[in-house]
Amino acid sequence: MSEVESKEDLLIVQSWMEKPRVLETKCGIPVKEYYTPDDVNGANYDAEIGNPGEFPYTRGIHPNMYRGKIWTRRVFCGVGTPEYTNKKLKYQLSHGQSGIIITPDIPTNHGGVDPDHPIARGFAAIQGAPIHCIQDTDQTFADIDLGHVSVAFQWNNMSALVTQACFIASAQKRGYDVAKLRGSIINEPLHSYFSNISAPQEDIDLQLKISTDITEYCTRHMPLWHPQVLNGYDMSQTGIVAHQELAFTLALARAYIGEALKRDLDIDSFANRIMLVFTSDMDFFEQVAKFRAARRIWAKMMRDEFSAKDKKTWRAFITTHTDGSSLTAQQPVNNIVRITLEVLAAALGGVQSMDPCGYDEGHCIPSFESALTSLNIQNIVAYETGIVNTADPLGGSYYLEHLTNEIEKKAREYLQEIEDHGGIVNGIKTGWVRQEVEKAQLQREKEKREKKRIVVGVNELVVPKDAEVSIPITRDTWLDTRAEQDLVEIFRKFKASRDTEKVKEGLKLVRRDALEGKNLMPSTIEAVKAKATMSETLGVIRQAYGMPWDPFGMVNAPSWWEI
Amino acid sequence: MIKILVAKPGMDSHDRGAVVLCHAFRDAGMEAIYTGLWQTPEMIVSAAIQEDVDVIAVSMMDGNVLAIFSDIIEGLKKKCVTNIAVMGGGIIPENIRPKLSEMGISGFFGPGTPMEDIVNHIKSKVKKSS
Repeated sequence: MSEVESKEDLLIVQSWMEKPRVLETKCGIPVKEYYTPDDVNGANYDAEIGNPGEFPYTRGIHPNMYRGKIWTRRVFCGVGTPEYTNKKLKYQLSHGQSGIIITPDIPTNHGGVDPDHPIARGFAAIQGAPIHCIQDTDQTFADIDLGHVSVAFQWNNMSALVTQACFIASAQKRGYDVAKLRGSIINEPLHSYFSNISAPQEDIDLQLKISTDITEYCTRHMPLWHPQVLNGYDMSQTGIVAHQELAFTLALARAYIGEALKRDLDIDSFANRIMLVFTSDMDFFEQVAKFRAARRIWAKMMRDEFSAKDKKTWRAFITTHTDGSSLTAQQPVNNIVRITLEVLAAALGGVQSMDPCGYDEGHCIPSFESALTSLNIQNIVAYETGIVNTADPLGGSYYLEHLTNEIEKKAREYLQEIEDHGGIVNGIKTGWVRQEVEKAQLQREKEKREKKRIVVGVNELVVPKDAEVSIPITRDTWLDTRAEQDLVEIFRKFKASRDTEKVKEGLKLVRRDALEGKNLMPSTIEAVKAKATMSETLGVIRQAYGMPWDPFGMVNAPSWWEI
Repeated sequence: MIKILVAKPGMDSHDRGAVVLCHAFRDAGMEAIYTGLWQTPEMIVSAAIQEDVDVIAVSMMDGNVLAIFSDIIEGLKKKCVTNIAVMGGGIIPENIRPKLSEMGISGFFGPGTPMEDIVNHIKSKVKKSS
């Protein structure tokens, strides 16, 4: 036996003899040496798996999957002023992007407040698109043909009402028929209670009401629009794992669908337009299995629990954002590899659309360079690997089918646990959900610290910054110095140019409908056409519901708005 | 004892780092006060003065770092405060670090920084027995 002399020798010996450190998936499913037909024994192919395009859609929602349509390829966009976002959107569309996805800036999304609100200082225009008034949607979508592109809005909270109203108003102004607009809005406020991102005084029941207003309006007037995207993704980023992500998403489905049914909507008129968004993380096979299990559970839930009759309702329409929390600020070039594997897992999982992170995640929102790279990762997987040529190419793998069964089982058990805590809304109100999230957070930190999970460049194989392989990390200096000021100036000019009487008339409609408990979408559309802003519209609604005008308790209603 | 205000300015709700920092400071024998979320720079400055802290440790994962730090520094100047050190951590863009240094801000601790580096930095900036 040779003697190990130096530290370098020791490292070489270690890596020569190296074995995997953890023999279980991220969500704790033990992994065996190998799998045989016995491991999927008893699985009835027709009942549990089925051909692609057939119940329970484990293998995909269409018989021909990507042969019929390759997944929609998007990359997150939106930053700076609406004009700047418009420029970036056009750049991405001219480089093979097949759909638009816009993420809001923080004042818009987390607070539903205008860029001139005191809490917005330092946060407006920085990491997302500011959309607070009709001028913003006019400029963001200028010269983009809304008849031929689908637009995904990543708006979670009450702000979704105003932004969607602005989008509708802008489109109508340009002559588009609202019934023909394609796209989606997240419109899913509950998940944000997982990660602290709702304004402190925002009321959960009011948020739920407004969310249902949007769903109801879209169901009745925008048949091609997806009025809600159940957001497993954001929850996953708090540290919860695959079966929890699935179970919480299904618990959300129960809550929202329950609300929509109270409005006398037929399950088959709206549930077929609800989408699911999941992460795609680095635990490759577990993720592929998760997408398959998600479709199976959804199909059974819609058919058996909600008595949906339409096959379209049984089919889970899944979109994916790759896992931001798996990416590292250190050695960002390595993130390209991570994103590629995550895109591949999502494609093998049969998702309908994707919007991968940029390799510069951890430094800034995707630059032009990183957005183009993320777009091309998808294009390369789609055009060069051949995996789009057959549906569910991994289906029938003993290991994968076993994992799919196990994840379904674990998700169902956890869903029961959520129900045992009174369902998701009650679980949020009592703080149980928060406890579960904190448990998961600590667990993930511990795994990293104890090197149970290796992250190259973070807890192993660390290199000094000057030894990193270089790759452009571009933060537009304008964004760090002037963008916000420019935005606030544009916004103030817009407000100053308005006919205040008209704005008041518009807002009075909103107040009337809020007091009468009506659906708030039609009056909000009228209000934004009269140039009301987000802070104003939501302020009027909050007041009508007996809440303070401002969810941060920092500003009052404008002097011209008499109560 | 060194007294630190751990601050989360504006609308940045990523508070895992801030909470962990408070624990690390207390373990190192310092007194740590956490502002909680949704604090404007003015609120941070007045909390720092009221609590008579030695250090404001600002944690920023997103937002306009330059604007927030400028406001904090201006706020301190307005109140004629000269004995509070301001430090920053989180995602502090490289291109604005020279400007921040000119303003007297130090630290710039990014993700994965060992807690002892941060503690040692504070001890070197605040000459006080802890």
